[in-house]
Amino acid sequence: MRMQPFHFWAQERRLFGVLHPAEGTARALVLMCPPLLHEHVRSHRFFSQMADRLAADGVACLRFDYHGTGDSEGDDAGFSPDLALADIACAAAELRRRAGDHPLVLMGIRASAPLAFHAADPARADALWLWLPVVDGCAYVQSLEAQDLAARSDPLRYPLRPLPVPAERDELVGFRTSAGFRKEFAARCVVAGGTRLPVSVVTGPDTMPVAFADGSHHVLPESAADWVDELDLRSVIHLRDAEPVLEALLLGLPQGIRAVVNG
Amino acid sequence: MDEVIVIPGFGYGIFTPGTGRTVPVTLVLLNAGLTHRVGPFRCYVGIARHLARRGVDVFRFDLPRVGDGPAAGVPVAAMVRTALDTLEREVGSRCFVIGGICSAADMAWHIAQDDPRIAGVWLLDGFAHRGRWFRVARVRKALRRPLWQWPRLAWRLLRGLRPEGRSAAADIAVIRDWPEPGAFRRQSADLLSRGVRILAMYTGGVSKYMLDVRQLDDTFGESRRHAGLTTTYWPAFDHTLMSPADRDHVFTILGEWCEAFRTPRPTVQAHNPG
Repeated sequence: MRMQPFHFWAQERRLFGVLHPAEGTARALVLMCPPLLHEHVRSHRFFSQMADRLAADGVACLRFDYHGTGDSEGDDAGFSPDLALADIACAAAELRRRAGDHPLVLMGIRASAPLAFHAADPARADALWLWLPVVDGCAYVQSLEAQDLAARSDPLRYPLRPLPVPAERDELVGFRTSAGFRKEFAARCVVAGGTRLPVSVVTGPDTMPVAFADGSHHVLPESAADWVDELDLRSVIHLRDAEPVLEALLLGLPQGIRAVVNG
Repeated sequence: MDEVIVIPGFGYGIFTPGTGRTVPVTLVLLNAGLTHRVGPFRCYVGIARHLARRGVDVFRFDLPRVGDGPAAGVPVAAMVRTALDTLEREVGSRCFVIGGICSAADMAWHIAQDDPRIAGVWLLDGFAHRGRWFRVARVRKALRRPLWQWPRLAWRLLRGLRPEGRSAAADIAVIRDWPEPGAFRRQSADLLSRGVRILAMYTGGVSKYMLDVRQLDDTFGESRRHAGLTTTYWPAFDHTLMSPADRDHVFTILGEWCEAFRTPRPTVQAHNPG
């Protein structure tokens, strides 16, 4: 088995991670900061395959779950966007400890984009990849609330229920969130020009990217980007559809990082 | 505290050991469709931690084509068998309850037929025979609709009686890899006579084939009243248990059912299907 699953500690929180060691000599590290809530489950295999793909190209990759998510310890309500920043920094340190002190890319996927953006300094990152990023935390929370409401009254989901399913106080798209989740996350944004690091932004075909001084923009086809609207996992996201974007990111990897390292 | 257990040649899984007064079975959860080992809305993690507090060991892992599981083409049955072998060797599990949601229930059913280590099967939205009670319930459901919708419903019902209309049931059976109703009844009787306990839960999310609790009489036949068979039907729940309150309910019933494995298996048949 190439991938190496393990638990590690972020302060007093026990987290789960999977290392995909680089084949041959590692030239860089990528820390994948996963999407949140249903999007985490929806996209899991896609990013597992992507980590394998990066590892095959000499990039050691760590996927991990925040406290209160995925296989990490903690209930759903234990997840906190503020604590997640510390989880990212600890995961970055763990990746360096296991794979060597190579240039580090923080890959913020969906709702982890603003988290990775703000954790870049404490994690000592050398570059950022923002994958289908949520750039406005407040708008994202509102979209989740709309999705939640639609699902509760969806006759296809609840065909034998005459009235919408009542929600618990802090429940969101099927998860019990913490009392502070919405407020904490709504305050998180990706700010244009708000970092000195090189930033590669990967979006769907109809999304305008955030502008960065040292940035690049890559566009996924609809087939690799439309999963973000789905609450349930009903189809596979094919890695081959994202291959051109991955190749571009890998091509830009040494140059982008070297500029910062040398600068 | 969760542990990673490597399944040699296939991948790995997460083992959550029971705490306190332990129950002598390990619950093995199979993937619900394409959802990886955490389950829809992370419910397999919730099950593992709830059951661990009740003393039940739980193991979750990814089958081929799912999550961190191997690529397509790896035989599922061989992987499950190796997972059970690994649990026997690594943590001393001897008896297993196997199951899960939707396709996991279907797989668990097939695996339980051949593996003598299986002591229980948990099925959430597994097989149910449509039969007469489904048709009656569908008509009753249609009659509750506003009058102006009746002509369209009548046309759909009539269309459903034509040969091509019946294909919907056959489609589900093929997609879900279900046995014929008669074979399912025989398999139920065989499992129960072996002392295997069955917990079959159904939700309103599978209204395409389950609308009335009396369908379970046709589904399980003579075994319906067997002491080893427990069934529940929750029409207000959805198929993937989106509501945390619904999940809590499932955790409680599943936990109580698993705890009953502390008492010896009911090897004496309450019913003799023959």
